[in-house]
Amino acid sequence: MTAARWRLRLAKHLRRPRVFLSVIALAAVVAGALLGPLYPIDPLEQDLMATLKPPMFASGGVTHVAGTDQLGRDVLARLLAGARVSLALGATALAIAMTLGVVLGVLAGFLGGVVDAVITAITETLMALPFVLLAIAVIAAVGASLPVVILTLGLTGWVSFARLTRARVLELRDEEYVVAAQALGARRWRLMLKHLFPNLVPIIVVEGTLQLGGLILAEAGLSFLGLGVQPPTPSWGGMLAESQVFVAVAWWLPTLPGLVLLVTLLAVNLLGDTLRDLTAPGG
Amino acid sequence: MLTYLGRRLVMSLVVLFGLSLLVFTMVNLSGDPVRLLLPPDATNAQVDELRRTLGLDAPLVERYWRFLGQFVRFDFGDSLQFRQDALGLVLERLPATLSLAGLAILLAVVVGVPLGVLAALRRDGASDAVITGVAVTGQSLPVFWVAVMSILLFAVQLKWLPAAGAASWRHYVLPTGTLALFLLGGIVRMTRISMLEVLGAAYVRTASAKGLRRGRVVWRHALRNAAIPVVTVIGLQLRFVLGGSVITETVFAWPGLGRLLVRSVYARDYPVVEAGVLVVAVFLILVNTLVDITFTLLNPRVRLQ
Repeated sequence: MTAARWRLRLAKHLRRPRVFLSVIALAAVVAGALLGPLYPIDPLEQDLMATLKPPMFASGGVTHVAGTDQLGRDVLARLLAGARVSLALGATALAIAMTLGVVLGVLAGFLGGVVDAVITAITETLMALPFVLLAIAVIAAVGASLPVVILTLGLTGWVSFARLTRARVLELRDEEYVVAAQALGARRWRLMLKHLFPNLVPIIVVEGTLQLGGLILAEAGLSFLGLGVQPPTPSWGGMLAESQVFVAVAWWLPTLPGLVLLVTLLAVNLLGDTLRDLTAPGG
Repeated sequence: MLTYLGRRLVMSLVVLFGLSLLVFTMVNLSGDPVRLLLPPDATNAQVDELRRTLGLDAPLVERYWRFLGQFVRFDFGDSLQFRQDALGLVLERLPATLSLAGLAILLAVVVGVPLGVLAALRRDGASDAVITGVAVTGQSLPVFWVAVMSILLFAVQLKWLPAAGAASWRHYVLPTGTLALFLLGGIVRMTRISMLEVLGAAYVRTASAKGLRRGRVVWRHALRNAAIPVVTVIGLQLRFVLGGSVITETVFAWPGLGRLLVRSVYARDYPVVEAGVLVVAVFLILVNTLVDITFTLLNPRVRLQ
């Protein structure tokens, strides 16, 4: 597809309200994460004279826009700090999963034979268990800390990338230009890097976007179970877990982190869907 | 067909072997269960004795070999927490989890399939936009948030339903609803896509052309064929349902396998974790193989491939 037609299609998609809104929502979350440190209130600062204050829009005070929690910590400051944790963790885990998955997928698809059999066996094994169970077992075994959570997510999240890449490489391997390059005597690594890899980029980008949502959700779920980001570091999942005790007296504590998480996931998932439509032939 | 089944079987065995390695590594990476079992003022002699009784003093390879033997025989010894057969404990909790998951799947199908069909019939119309929007939102809803919010709304504010336990049918409503909502999005979207494909097929045009009523064409001719990918998706989602039930059971204090496993992991109760992981994996492999075989038998096109 030529660049001009691509831009035309992109422009058409961007005019759709839900795509437009997703871009804005995601930009807001990213901006919140980046500009969070500029917010005047420290997310860890406790004010035991002002605990469980409702948000401003529910007739609370003006100092705490989104209210305070059971220790008088500012909820908005914690949401902003949580956004930073969620995005940084999601992006790092995604980078690990993507790199590992694509490399293993290309190797399995291109080399075939024993390499393929071993990689397929590993992916099948990892897919035989619910992800949460796997993550709980790993994290409980080695203890919860930020690097452990990132590694666990990265080392379990590569499977879908590997499967997709492998399937695509199997398709591409018999394409005429690949066969032609091979006939001209191109080396294996050159074939993989120059001829196969560029054709993998679209599916990797689409899958990456969809997986980013999954990884952010997984981090929140693990933090919710107490196995992810550890307090006092604020995280959306951790805020939700702490809020369970105060559900009856402070509705904003469970509501706000969940809402922010939902908006983020919705935006990421909708953009992933749009990218899939955009890269699909004839879309 | 037989070679296909044979390959399936070999792959399942490979997966089970991989799982045994995975579980064994995991269990040995974690801390020492002996210290957790004994009171903090236990003497070193007591620690050593318990370690010997539990067979934890042998070298790693020997322990793996013994572990593999147990794994194959489904024998994991007694739970360290409950002093009761680990597999028995797991199987005892399994029905509670399966009834929760089964009801959730049923609910999601009963609601999701008609919605998906409707969205496909009204393609690009207002109902399609609303249904697809709800489905996408449902897929983005975190299970644990839905769980907490449903407690806030139905148990705390409205006081309609109990928040924890499994004593009566009313205890089923919130956990089942939470899990079903989690599944609904995928089922609606798969039904919609699959129906759109089928509705354009020649046999559907033929059925319409020979004068069959619209309802009969849609529900008898189209949906039957559109159902195949939908059932496949449900089979694949079973993994996520069981994963989601771990969180759901924890929030709603549901006496199922998920909560037992989370608690056993915290308590480093190896035998229960091993038994639980194996039971879940075997169950998933069985169901997915069954789904595959059923399709191979039902659909000649799949059989020929």
